[in-house]
Amino acid sequence: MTDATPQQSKWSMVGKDPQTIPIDQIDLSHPGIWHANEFLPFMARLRKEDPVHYCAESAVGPYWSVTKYKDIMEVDTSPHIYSSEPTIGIVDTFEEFTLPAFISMDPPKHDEQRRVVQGVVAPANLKNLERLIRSRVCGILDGLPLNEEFDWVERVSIELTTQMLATLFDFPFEDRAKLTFWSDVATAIPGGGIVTTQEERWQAIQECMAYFTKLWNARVNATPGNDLISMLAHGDATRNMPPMEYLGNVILLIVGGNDTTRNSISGGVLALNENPAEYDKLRNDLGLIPNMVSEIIRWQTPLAYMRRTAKVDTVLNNKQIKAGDKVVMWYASGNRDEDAIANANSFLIDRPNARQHLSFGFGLHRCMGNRLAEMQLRIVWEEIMKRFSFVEVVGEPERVYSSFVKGYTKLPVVLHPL
Amino acid sequence: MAVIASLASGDKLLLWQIDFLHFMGFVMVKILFIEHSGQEHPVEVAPGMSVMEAAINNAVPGIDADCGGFCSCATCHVFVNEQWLDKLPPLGSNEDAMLSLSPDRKENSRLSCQIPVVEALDGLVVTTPEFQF
Repeated sequence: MTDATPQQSKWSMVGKDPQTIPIDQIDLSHPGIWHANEFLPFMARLRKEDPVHYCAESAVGPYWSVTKYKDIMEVDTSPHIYSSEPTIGIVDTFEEFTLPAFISMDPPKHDEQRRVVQGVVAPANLKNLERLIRSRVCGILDGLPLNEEFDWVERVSIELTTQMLATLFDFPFEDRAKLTFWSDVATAIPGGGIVTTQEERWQAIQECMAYFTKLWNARVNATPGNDLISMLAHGDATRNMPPMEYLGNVILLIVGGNDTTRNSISGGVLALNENPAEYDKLRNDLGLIPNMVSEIIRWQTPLAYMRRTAKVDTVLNNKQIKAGDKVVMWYASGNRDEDAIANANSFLIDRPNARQHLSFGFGLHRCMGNRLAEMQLRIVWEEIMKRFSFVEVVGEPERVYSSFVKGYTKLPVVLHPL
Repeated sequence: MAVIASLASGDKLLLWQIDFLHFMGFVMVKILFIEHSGQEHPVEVAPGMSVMEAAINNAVPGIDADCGGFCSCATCHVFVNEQWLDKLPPLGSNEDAMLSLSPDRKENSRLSCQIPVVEALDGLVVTTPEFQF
């Protein structure tokens, strides 16, 4: 869906030499280097030479880049200094295009709203879902062609995460593609291939609002069920939630559960192809799957950053940060920080302490769906290994045009049976 | 390590509790971890580390400790046996905030990375939850 390559912007870093470009000109925020897969050496230079880096001029205005693991941890665990309001995206939002959701709220409101919905994706609830998820994974994998090229992103990664969302929301199954579309729209940059203007984006979000309002109204008048909408409609703390907040949180859950897991499913296939010795380790010991899942999530880092806004003047790793400054935590960089993670630039499925990565963030905003994501990936790999000796990548992957959603729009593969 | 981790997390650790003689290995503290299933894991560790580290260093299942001891992930959640509750350092504000996000939180919930192993806790009994979240 993001096949269109936007025209080269004057802000793009693509093709520039990461070693010789003046350091103050490095701008990680522009989607170009993420789309072109050229971001790694720019991040490595910042970690080494200027770990808390000020970019004075960019398409999204001035901002700080935080690239070391320990500094990211400090920002993420200091919500009293670094606020999640008004937004966690690098682009300043226009209020009329923004829905309230707890990801972009500070305590205490964040905590109150998150508590309402987190039980849905808590491990105790997931245990009951495992059989259903597995049967859907099997259904998708059994329908794939053997010895013939197809797009893994479309046929597996998108289809699986979409089915999963439809299950969690008890969303009409035949309409499930709408969920994927709304998720893409919610994080889309106008002109990036999905929508062309903010107005068009807003129109799609309103369509989503109308659909979920209809579902709410149906569930609120029915017997309480185990799906997310029914839980919200009947929950003491949420049944009187203002409609905009309900929808903001629904969209947050759709986005959170969609392209993140989608891109880790694709990213794992790519990483194993690029590291054949690791693929062999996996073939020889399927017990490595849970550990490999954590390593895939670190390696992929499906959300490249989260943004905070300094509430007060402060100091971070010897840099003076002023109240109101944008501070961007590049998880994609911290996850490659050799000072925090041994052999951080190697993909090792049997890595010790694989769970210690930044992809879920830390502190109060730590990913709520982390256990659901891990379970989905674990089941996917358990079932892949029962069927295929090799999921072979046979062409160049195409990447999302975004510095936020780090993922793939296309991954051509051929399946080889056991 | 536990001291540094606790201070970095913003939670006050009672420094007087760290008796440097303990680092010499003269005293060992017994801790009993009980899994949700009832499976028991007795360990003996030197004071100075956290209860979380005591579990991780002895491969006790049921504690993930994703953040490595910085009071910022709540995956080292334990239920402390009632009789030990008043012997623990008080609940810190960061710890309270992280625990408040766990659907399984009970009155005796603590994050084990925030409990330093001291001689006074010899015999401590904690139960791990069915899931870390």
